[in-house]
Amino acid sequence: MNEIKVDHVTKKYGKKVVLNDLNITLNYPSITGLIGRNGSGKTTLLNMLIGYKKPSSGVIKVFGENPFDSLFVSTNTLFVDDRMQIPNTLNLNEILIEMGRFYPNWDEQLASKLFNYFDLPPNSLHQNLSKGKKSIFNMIVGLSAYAYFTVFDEPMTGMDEAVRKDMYRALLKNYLEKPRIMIISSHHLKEVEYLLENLILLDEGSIVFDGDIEAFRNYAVGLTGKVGKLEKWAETKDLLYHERVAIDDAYVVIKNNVSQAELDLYSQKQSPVETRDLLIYLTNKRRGVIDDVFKTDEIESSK
Amino acid sequence: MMSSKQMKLSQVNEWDVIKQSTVYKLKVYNHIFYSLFIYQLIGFLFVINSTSGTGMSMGSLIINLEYKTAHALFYITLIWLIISSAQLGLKQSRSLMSGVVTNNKTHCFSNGLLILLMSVIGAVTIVLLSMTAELFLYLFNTPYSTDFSINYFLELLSAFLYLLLAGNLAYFITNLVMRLKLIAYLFLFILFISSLIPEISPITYFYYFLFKEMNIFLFIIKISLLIVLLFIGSLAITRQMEVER
Repeated sequence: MNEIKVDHVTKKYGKKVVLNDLNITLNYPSITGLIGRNGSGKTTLLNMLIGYKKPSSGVIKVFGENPFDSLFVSTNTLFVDDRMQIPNTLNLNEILIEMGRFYPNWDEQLASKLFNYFDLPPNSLHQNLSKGKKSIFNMIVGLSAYAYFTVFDEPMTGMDEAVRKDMYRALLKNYLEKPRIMIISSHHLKEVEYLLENLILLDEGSIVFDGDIEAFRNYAVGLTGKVGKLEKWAETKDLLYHERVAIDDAYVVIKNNVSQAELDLYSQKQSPVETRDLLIYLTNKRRGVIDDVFKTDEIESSK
Repeated sequence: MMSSKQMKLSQVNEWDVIKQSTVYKLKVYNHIFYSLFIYQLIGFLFVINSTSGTGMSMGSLIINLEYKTAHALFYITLIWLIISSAQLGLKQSRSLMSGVVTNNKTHCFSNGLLILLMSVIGAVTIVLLSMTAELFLYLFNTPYSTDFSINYFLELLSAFLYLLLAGNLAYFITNLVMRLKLIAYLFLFILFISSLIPEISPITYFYYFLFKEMNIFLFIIKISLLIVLLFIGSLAITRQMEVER
């Protein structure tokens, strides 16, 4: 009843498949990171979870209900992003008052404290704020509403480093105060990683990884060893990345489903893979690497 | 640890959300009401500065009748209401509500309430300005006689019903064009073609059905029925609408 379930959901725009046969479960309470490159389908998925869009096929249940056009789901959810619709005829203070009338768990005191801390001008219009200040205001709304299901889609856009740090801390404290279902969608895994309990990695509309963040950290292993021996063996495994690091040395990244004895046999050094790099390796599999773009030119210029 | 902090899912009453949304929209769309002031000021100036007239002659006797009417006030308020109601039917209007608790049904009902309120305010201000114009002409001892209705209640009622009908029609057509473009264009095309032959034109039927009705009670029933049908139509069109942001 209190969870969110996505069952074989596909979303198409015309003939273009934006999301392909997704299966996801979000339990209460949890903070899940929805990570993916541009155009991976993150926002489309969030739009369907929040009830703005309908899936082309499959079933979505949010708190046991179809979220599309559901007033019950709307009451218990909030979507914070840089396209959040804030009227330009009300000033910031008036908007906070209005939000308080709509959201049953609205914490006026918290909104006011955050508003003062981040030094927002109460009489300004949202449209007159800088990009960073707009994001701060949207975050204040997201945190103060204490919606049972809160979605933050790239919430820190335009914020400077110090504010981002404060805001992530505020988000974590807010969650610990009242644990609920939160999704944080971002391109920057490194930045949000320490907040997350679970991670969903989307690439070109499909799920590449769905599990807890610790499992993602241990998903792959980096190996350094002799070119011939290591590369040949790695090709028989789930190879995610490889490069030559010296004349006869290679560095490979493979899925961490190999015994320690085998790793010791074929590599000289084993190292953990940074989650940020792993994200790139997993989503580059289909695209290749940027060097591939220049390969033809190099061949032609050498002719 | 969790039990003390356990959050509960909130239930809301649909009618409460409709009321909240209406109040919210009244604040968000406050410019609509400011524009009414401008529109009616123009209408008022029309009323006191323009004359309508008719003339006839019998032999050497020529009679010219010139009079002032409050029609300009009504028409200009009608234009205001049509524009404002159409604005509520735009996709941007629905997107704007995505920031707060809402769904298509509560959005449509709160728009309906807003159109109702605009019609009341429009009708009341028409009557009040008509009275003001009458007083104005009396004080300045204008030589023209006026035809302002003595029965202000009937004037108020008919103005309100016509405004409400026009507002709902504008809201319905905007929704139709926004969501069912093909059907909307087909509908308007058929309407245009049929209007070339007045005998079979739906506009002619509509005109006789409504505007030629002499019985006030039948008129109220007919116009109310049309308003309800248009609103149900708008509700049906917007029911499956996705939110564009």
